Amino acid sequence: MNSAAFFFIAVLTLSAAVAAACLRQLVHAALSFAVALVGVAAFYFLLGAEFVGLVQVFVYVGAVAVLIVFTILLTRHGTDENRGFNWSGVVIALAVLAALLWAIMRTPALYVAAQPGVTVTVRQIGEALMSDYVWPLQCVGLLLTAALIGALVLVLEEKR
Amino acid sequence: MSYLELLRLAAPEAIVVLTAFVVLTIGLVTGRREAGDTPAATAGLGALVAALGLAIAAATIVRLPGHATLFHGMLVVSPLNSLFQVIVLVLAFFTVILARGERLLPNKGEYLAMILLATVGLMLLIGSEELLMIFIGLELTGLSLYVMTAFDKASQTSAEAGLKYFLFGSMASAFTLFGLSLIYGFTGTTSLAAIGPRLAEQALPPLLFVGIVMTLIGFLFKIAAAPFHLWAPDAYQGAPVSTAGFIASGSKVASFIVLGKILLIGFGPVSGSADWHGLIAGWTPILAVLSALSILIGNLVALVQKNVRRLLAYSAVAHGGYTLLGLIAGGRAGFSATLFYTTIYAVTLVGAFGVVGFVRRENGGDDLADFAGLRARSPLLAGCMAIFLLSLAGLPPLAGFFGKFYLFSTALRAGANHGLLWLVALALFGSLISLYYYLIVLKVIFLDENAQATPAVARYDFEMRADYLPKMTLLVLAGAVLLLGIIPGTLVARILASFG
Repeated sequence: MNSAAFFFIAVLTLSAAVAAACLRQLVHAALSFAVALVGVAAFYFLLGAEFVGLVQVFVYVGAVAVLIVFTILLTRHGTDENRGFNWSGVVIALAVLAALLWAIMRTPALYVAAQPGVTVTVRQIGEALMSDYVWPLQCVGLLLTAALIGALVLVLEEKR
Repeated sequence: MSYLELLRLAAPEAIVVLTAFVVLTIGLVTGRREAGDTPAATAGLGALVAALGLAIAAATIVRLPGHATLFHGMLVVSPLNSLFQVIVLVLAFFTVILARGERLLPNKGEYLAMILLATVGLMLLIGSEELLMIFIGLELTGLSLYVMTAFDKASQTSAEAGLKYFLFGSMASAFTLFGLSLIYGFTGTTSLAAIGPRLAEQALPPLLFVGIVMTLIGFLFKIAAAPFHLWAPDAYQGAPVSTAGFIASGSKVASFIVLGKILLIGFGPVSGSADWHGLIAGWTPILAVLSALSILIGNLVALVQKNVRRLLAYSAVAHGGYTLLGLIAGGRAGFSATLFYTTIYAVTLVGAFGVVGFVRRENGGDDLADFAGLRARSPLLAGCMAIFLLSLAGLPPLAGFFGKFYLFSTALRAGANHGLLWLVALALFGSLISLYYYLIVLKVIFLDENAQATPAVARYDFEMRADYLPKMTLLVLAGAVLLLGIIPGTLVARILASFG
C-alpha cells in the first residue's frame, strides 16, 4: 500500500514541480507550486511525521503560496518576452541528475534508518524546542526579524 | 544547562542584537522627515551607538570563560572562537565608521541595524561547531548582506548587484542545506566533533561524498572561489562602499574559519591528498583544483578591469584561492596560516574600500580615471591606498608579504616530497600578475594628472570637507597593515595559542 502511495505522490509532486518551472502564466505556475508543496506534505504524513506535515501545509501552502499569488496579482506584469529555450541549463541539470543517480545507485544504505513505529508527539517537539534547541530557535527568530526589516526597507517608497 | 547560563555565554551576541534594535529605534524616532535623506544628527547618533555596542560586545567576549560548550557544540566558547569574534567585531566597527563618511543614505538607521545583524550572523558562524547553527548563521549573514547590497535605491547597479547576490546566494544555500541533510543522514549527528569519528569508521559512500561537495559549495560561494565567484564583481561594484568592504572582510573571515572547522574537524578523515604524485580521493583535490582555478581566473580577469571596485573583486577571487592553500595543506599550521592571511586581507580590504568611498564621494565614480591625480588632491588617501595595494600584492615589509610567505611555506612543507609544489608555484605566478595590476592603479594615483586640473582651493576643500574620523580610521588601518608586516609574530602566536 505504502509503496503505491509513495509512487503516486512522487509522480504528482514531481509533475507539479516541473509544471511550476515551465508554465508561462505566472499564476498557473504559482498554483502548480502549491500542489508540489502539498505533495511534500503528503510525504511527511507517509513517513509518520504528522506535525511536520501539518506545519508544511499551514506555512507553505497556507501562507507562502498565498503570498506568492498576492504578489503576482499586485505587481506590474512585465513584458512577457520569450527568451528561447535554455539548452545549457538543461545540460547542466541533466549532468547533476546523472551524478546524483549514480551516487544513489552506488550507495548501499543510510547510516541511520528511521525507527518504524515511533511517533513523536507535539509535546515532545515543543519540549525539545524549549530545551535542547532553544538557541537555534532564538536565532531563527532573529533571522526572520532581519528578513522582515530588510524586506520592508527594500520595498519602502522614498518620498522625494 | 539553565537559561541563565545560555544568556551568560551568549551575552556578546545579545548585546549586538540589542544595539541593532536601539539603532533601529533611533532611526525611526528621529529620522523620518519629508525629505529622503537621513538627518546628519540621527546618522551620527546611530553610528555612535552602533560603535559603542560593538565595543561593549567585544569587551564582553574577553570576559567570557575560557572554554564552554552548550547543546553539543551549538554554542562553543573557546579561545579561537573568541579571538575571531573579536576580530569580526573590530571589522564591523571600522565598517560602521566608514559608513559614517558615506553619502547619506536614506534609512541610515536601518542600514546600521543590518550591519549589526550581519555581524551577529558572523558571530554565530564562528561560535558554533554544529551544522544546524552554522547554517542559521550563514543565512542570517547572507540575508543581511543581500539587503545591504541593494540598499542604495537611487542606483540601478545597487539593485542589480543585490538581486544577483541574492539569487546566487540562495542557490548556494540550497545546495549546502541539501548537502548537510545527506551528511546528517549518513552520520546521524549534526555535531562536527561527532561527525569526524563516524566518517572514519565507514568506507566513503558516493552519496556521502556528494553531500560533502554540496556542503562546500555554500562556503566556496561565500569566499568567492572560482566557479562560484560570478556575483562578486557586481556586488563589490554596485553595493554601497561600506557594504562591499564588509562583504570582502568580515564575511570572508567568518567563512574561512567555519570552512576550516568543517573540513578539519568534521571531514578530517576523508581529506584525501592533492599531492602531485599520489592523488587520493577526498575533498583536498577538489579544493586544490578550485584554488588553482581561482588564482588563474581572478588574476587574469583583474588585468583588464577599468573599475577599481571590480578589480578588487577579481583580486578577491584570487586571494580566496591563495587562502585555500592553508586548508589544503591541513593541520594546525595550515589552518593558522589561512586564518592569519584572511585576517590581514580583511583589514587591508576594509581600508582599500574606505579610500574608494572617499574618491567616490568626491568624483562620483570609482573607475580608474576617477583616481587620476589622487596624490595631488589628497596625499593622505594616496599614501594609505599605496600601503593597502602593495600589501595585497605581497611586497615586504607589509603584512601581505608575511601572510603569503607563511601560507606558501606551510603549503610547501605540508605534503611529503613537496607534493603541493605545483600549487605554490601557480600561486607565486599569480602574485606576480597581481603586482602588475596593483601597480597600474598606483601609477594612475601617483603619476597621472587629473583631467580637470584641481586648483589649490579644491584640494583644500577636499581635505577639509571629508570627515576627520574616517580618515583617522584609514590611517589606523594602514598602520595596522604596516605593523602586522613588521611584527607578524604577535598575531600568529595568538592564533596558534588559541588552538590550545
